Amino acid sequence: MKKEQYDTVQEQMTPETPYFLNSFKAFLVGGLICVIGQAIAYFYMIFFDFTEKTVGNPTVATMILLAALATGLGIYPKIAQFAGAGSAVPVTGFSNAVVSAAIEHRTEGYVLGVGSNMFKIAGPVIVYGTVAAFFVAIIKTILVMMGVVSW
Amino acid sequence: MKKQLFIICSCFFLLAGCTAKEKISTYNAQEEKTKVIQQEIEQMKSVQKAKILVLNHDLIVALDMKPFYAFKERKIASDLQKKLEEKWPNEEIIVSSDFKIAWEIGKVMEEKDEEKVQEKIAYLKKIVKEKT
Repeated sequence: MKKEQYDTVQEQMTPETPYFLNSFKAFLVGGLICVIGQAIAYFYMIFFDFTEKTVGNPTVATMILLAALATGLGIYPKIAQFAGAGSAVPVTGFSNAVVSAAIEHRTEGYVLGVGSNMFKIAGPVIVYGTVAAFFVAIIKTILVMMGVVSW
Repeated sequence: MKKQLFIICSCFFLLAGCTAKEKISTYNAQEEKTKVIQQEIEQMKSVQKAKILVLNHDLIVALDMKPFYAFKERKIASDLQKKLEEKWPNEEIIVSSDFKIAWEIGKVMEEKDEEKVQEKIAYLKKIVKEKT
């Protein structure tokens, strides 16, 4: 079989990816996660002394805790199966990546298993997140110095 | 049929919350400064709702922007603050687009006891400065 032939056969055999349906599901579930986050933010603002400026940290912490619990209880993987990127992009997806890796490598011991594998998936996010933040900060500093934008 | 009825009913009840309420609410509507600020805010196109609290030398304004102006809300609030500070340099002025400030002012709107309002103003001044 030639390469071209193989390609056409493979194309015929592969089922079509339902892009629109997947996007819709991701939009729906991702939006729902954000609605929960917003509700938690309002809860902290109404019942505690947080303002819009300071409410971010406790809200993110709570969402991470909830997602970690849901991962441990086996609920989050089911949501992820349905929603795809909708559950991976918010901060809850990051929490899921850390916790599921920790659970997976639990049998290898706490130091060489959990400790060294916990950030296997989340590690690159932290590294490139920090690098990107560094460059964005430099660009913004230059723009402020030039007087294009203000802090 | 039942499903359709449910959808129509839920749309109706959800949208019923969108009816226009009082645009600018004030603590003491007869106060002169309140009237001036009210006029100032009425001219602003970006403001959806506002709450004004004026007591003695303290002046707190909470703004709720239209969704289109949400990204500029802090700048709009600080512009108004500068304008008011120029007008009354001896007063302590806070102009904020923060939901928390609007919520707390809303709670003392009906309060008659001035001491309690003063306490609330002191509390708001404290949390506005908080950054972490």
